[in-house]
Amino acid sequence: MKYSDDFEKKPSEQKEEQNRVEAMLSDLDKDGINDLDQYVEDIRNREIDQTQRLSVQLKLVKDGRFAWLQKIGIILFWYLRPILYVIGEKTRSYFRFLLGVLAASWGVLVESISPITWRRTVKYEFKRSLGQVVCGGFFSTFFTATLAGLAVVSQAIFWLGAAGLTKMTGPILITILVREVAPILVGMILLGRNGILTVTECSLLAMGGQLKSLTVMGIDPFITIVLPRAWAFTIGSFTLGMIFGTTSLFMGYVVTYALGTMQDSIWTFYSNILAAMSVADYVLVPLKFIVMGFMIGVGSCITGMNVKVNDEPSTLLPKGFTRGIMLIMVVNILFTLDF
Amino acid sequence: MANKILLDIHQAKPSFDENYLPPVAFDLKVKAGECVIIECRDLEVATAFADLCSGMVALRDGKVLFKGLDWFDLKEPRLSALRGCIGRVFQKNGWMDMYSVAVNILLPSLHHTRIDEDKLVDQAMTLCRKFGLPGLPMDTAREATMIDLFRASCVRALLNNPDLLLLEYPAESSSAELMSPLLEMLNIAQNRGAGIICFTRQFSLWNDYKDRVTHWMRLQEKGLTSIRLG
Repeated sequence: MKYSDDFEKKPSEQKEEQNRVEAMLSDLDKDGINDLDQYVEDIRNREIDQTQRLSVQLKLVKDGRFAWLQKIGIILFWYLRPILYVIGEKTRSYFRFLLGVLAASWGVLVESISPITWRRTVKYEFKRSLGQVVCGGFFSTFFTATLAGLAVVSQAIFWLGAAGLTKMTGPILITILVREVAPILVGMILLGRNGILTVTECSLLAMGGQLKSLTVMGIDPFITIVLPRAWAFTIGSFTLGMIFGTTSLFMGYVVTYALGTMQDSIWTFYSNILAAMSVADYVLVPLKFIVMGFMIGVGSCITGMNVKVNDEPSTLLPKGFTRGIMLIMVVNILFTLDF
Repeated sequence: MANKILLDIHQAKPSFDENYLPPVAFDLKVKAGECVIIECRDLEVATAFADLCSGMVALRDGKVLFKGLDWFDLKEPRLSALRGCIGRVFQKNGWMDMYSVAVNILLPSLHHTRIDEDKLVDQAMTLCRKFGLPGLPMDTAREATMIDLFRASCVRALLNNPDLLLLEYPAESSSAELMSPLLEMLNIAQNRGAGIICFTRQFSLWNDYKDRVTHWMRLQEKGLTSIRLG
């Protein structure tokens, strides 16, 4: 048992404390309490809690010139403490999650290089997940891209034409639609349709003990579940991103052509858009989709697998969603800084 | 073959805070071709002991060797590969709902071997028929009946001839019609040199197989004790 800190004071106090503790321990023995260490720890914690009361802390302030200032500080801190606690807890939680995602991402990259990783079970899960991501997200992406085409592309073409800035159509569409809007919307579709599904599946596997059963059978859940899903999300995100970009531009062109605003052929229109793209765009835009998909895949798996005993769908799914949104934003901001 | 020790649990004291096992030293040796029946009334303790045999329980003291290799000296991927040599019937949580039962059955063999998938399917189909299933069940575990799931778990455990069989309460989970194929398959497994550890609630359920049982043991609070049946 650890009493050393208390016994380093005066010998009389030391003896008094020792007697008090010994008396307490003998009482506990009589009561039949076995875990004395834990019991004493609880009592100490309670005593610490009591000393942290506001009135006790104010009394402890020594008289002096700046005592009143010190007391104001203690009162302010006392009332701010719950808010600070919440802010600190959330910040630490998200930071821990981000570090966890980075660590898992590194793990996925390292394991992916090894040829023994890509066994039949991993390939099976990869194909299944890729099918879910691409086929499941295709129609959502198509309709969102159509709406984006009608709302963003056609309006941009119309108003830029009205202002006599037709030449700016390409650069503006590239900047707004391809670089910024498309990755966020595709990320949201990916997260909503497949990320949350992955969170649910992984949490059910973790809570149901199937992850442990897999390990018992010699099947590493990280290799069999996280790794293939991360890559399926990556390829799926890139595919859906390309579908989104092409469809939204096409739909925008169709509407403006039908309204008579646009006179050029579709090929000229696409050619203008491509001409407005820089070399960096050709690299960074696909990379943004790829990194975003990868992070959503890893993040969803990690959120699902790290489920706590007291987690329920009502707490876990919002957690998965907010974490996914955070990852989308982080990736988006990082790539925006690069541009 | 007969004297080769498959599983050697030597003075293994499980870590107290990790599992349901009592904090006592466990000793057990299972040789190739032996069958050990362990009576244990507490299902959680039985699962924890099966986990101990698979190197899934952290130890405070002692060691657990499987095929001469200490579980805790091994690292991935050798650790997983060694676990792939064990066929296990789980009493619960053994099925992944996102896959069909057929995929669940084939999963360990597909993961650990390079045997042609068609051959594995044929082998699984043969075992399924032996256990009374018309073929590989394509439903998910949630849609399958309890008895079919038990049949399927036997097929999964026996598929690809594992070296050690860890069966959690197979006699309790099955009906009389299922015991016959199970005992027949256990007999075949024992003959080819597999070790078998079966958990049961009462020894009497294994009366039909007592000639082939090498050790009768009881798992209780005081640990694993050997029993001599009269």
